[in-house]
Amino acid sequence: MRPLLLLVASVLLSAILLAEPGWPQIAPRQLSRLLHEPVPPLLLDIRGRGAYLAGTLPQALNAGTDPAGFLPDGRGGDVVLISDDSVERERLAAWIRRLTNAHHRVFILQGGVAAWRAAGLPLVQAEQNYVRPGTVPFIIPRGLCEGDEPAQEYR
Amino acid sequence: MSRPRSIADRAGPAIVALALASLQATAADGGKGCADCHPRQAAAFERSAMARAAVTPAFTAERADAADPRRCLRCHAPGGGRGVACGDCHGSGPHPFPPLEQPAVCARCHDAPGENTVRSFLDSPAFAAGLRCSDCHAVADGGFNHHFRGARSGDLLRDAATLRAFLRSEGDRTLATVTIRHRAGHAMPGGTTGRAVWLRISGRDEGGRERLDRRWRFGWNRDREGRWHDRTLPPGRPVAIELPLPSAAGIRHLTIELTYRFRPGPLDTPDPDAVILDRMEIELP
Ligand code: HEC
Ligand code: HEC
Ligand code: HEC
Ligand code: HEC
Ligand code: HEC
Repeated sequence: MRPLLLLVASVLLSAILLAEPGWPQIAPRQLSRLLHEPVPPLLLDIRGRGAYLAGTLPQALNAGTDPAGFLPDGRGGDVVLISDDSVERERLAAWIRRLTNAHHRVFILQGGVAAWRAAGLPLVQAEQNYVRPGTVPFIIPRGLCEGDEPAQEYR
Repeated sequence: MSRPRSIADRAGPAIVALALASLQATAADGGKGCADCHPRQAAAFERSAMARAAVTPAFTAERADAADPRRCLRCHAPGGGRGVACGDCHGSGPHPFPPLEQPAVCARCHDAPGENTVRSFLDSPAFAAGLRCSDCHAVADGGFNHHFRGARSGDLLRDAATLRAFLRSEGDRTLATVTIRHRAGHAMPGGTTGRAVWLRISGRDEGGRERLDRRWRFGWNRDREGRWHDRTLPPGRPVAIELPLPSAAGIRHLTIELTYRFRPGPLDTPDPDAVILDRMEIELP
C-alpha cells in the first residue's frame, strides 16, 4: 500500500507544482552562459510570430503558439521556453506538459524577454537565427580546390 | 651557438657529432635528412594526407585541368616533393628550430578563398577555450603526434555534428524546423571548396511514395559572376532552417539526413568516403 500512496502523493504534488509558480526557471545570465556550452538547451520562443520577429534571443527558434500542434524530434534534452506576460498561465502549462511528455527537461526564462534585455543581454533579429540558402543562385564547385589565391596576410 | 649545446645537453654527448652534422640538414631535401634522426615524427607525419598532397589521383587530375598548375604546389608541395614537408612548417633550418606558433604556421595554406579554416578558428569556442589545431588534429596517447589526422582518418567525424528538429503548426500549415550544430574547432566543413555538408529533408506519404526532397549544401558556393560565398557551418552556434511542408502532399513520414562529402558536385555524385553525420526519422500524426 505504501508505495502506491507515495506515488499518488507525488503525482498530486507534481500536479500542484505544475499549476503554481514553482516551474523550474533559469536566470538570463545563467542561460547566456549555457548558450556557449557544447550542448546548449533548445530555446523555444512561444510568444508568436509578431513578437518573435520583433526581436528574440540568439539561437531562439519560433515554436509557434500552439503546444498541441508542436511535435518534437523525440530526442529529449533541455528546453528553455521564451515567453512573457502575453502568454497565459494555462498555455504555458500546456507547453510544459507537451514537452515533458516528450522527455524534455523544461525551464522557463525567468522574467521573460524583458528580464533578458534588462540584464544587458542582446536580442537579435529573428532571421539571424536561420539560414536561407538558395537565395543566391549558386554553382556547386566542380573541383576540390578552386579558390587557390591566399585571401589575406595572416594577422 | 647556444642552441646546439642545449641539444647536446638534452640528448647526451654521444649525439653531439650528429647534432652538429644536422646543422647542415635543411628542408631542401623534402625532409629525408630529418627522418634519419626523427624517425618517430617522420613516420607519424607520413600518415597525414599532407605528406602526399601533390601525388594523390584527385590532385593530379585536378591540377591537369588548372589554368595555372604551378600555383597549386605553393600549398601542396612548396619544396617540390610528394607533398608538404618538415621544412614547410618548421622553416628551412638548421637547428635550432624556432618554436611554432599555431595557427600562424598553418595559415599560409589553410587561409585562402575557399579555405577559411584558420579565420573561422579564431572566431570559435575552441580558440576561446585555448585549444590549438594540434589539440584536435595531432594528438595520440595524450601527446603531440605528427599524424595530423583529417576528416577521413580516425574518428574525427564521430558525433561531429548533430541534428535537432521539430514540427509546428501555423494556421493550416505545418512547418519543419531543423537545426545543425557541430563541434569542429572551425567552420564545417574545414578545408576547401569541394568539401561539403549536405542536409536533405525528404518526406513520404502513407503509401511510402516520396513527396518531398529538399537539399541544402553547406560549403563554398560560387555565384554566376564567379564570386565565392562562404556557406559553411559556423563554429559554436547552430544553424536553423525552416521548411513549410507542402500541405496537399499528405506527408506522414519525414527523414532528415546530414552527410559529409569529400568529393565535389551535387549530393548524387558518388563519394565512397561520404559519411552520414546524423539522421532522424519523424512520424507525423
Ligand atoms: C643528426 C641528427 C638530426 C637531424 C638530421 C635533424 N635533427 Fe632535429 N633534432 C635533433 C636532436 C638531437 C634534437 C634535440 C632532441 C630533443 O631535444 O629531444 C632535435 C630537435 C629538433 C626540433 C625541436 C626544436 C629544436 O630545435 O630543438 C625540431 C623542430 C627539429 N629537430 C626538426 C628537425 C628537422 C625539420 C630536420 C630536417 C631538416 C631535423 N630536425 C634534422 C637531431 C637531428
Ligand atoms: C603541418 C606542420 C608540421 C609539419 C609538416 C611537421 N611538423 Fe614537426 N611540429 C609541428 C608542430 C605544430 C610542433 C610543435 C608541437 C608542440 O606545440 O608541442 C612540431 C614539433 C616537432 C618536433 C619537436 C617535438 C617532438 O615531437 O619531438 C620535432 C622534432 C619535429 N616537429 C620534427 C618534424 C619532422 C622531422 C618533420 C618532417 C617529417 C615535421 N616535424 C613536420 C608541425 C609540423
Ligand atoms: C575542437 C577540435 C578542432 C580544432 C581545435 C581544430 N579542428 Fe580542424 N577539424 C575538426 C573536426 C571535427 C573536423 C572534421 C569536420 C570538418 O571538416 O569541419 C576538422 C576538419 C579539418 C580539416 C579538413 C580535413 C579533411 O580531411 O578534409 C582541416 C584542413 C582542418 N580541420 C584544419 C584545422 C586547422 C588548421 C586548425 C587550427 C587553425 C584546426 N583544424 C583546429 C576539429 C578541430
Ligand atoms: C605548406 C602548406 C601547408 C601548411 C603549412 C599546413 N598545411 Fe595542412 N594541408 C595542406 C594541404 C595541401 C592539405 C591537403 C592534403 C590532401 O588532402 O591531399 C592539408 C591537409 C590538412 C589536414 C587533413 C589531413 C588528412 O589526413 O586528411 C589537416 C588536419 C591539416 N592539414 C592540418 C594542418 C595544421 C594543423 C597545420 C599547422 C600546424 C597545417 N595543416 C599546415 C597544406 C598545408
Ligand atoms: C592556398 C593554398 C592552396 C592552393 C594554392 C591550392 N590548394 Fe588544394 N588544398 C589546400 C588545402 C589546405 C587542402 C585541404 C583541404 C581539406 O582537407 O579539406 C587542399 C585540398 C585539395 C584537394 C583535395 C584532396 C583530396 O584528396 O580530397 C585537391 C584535389 C586539391 N587541393 C587540388 C588543388 C589544385 C589542382 C590546385 C591548383 C589549382 C590547388 N589545390 C591549390 C590548399 C591549397
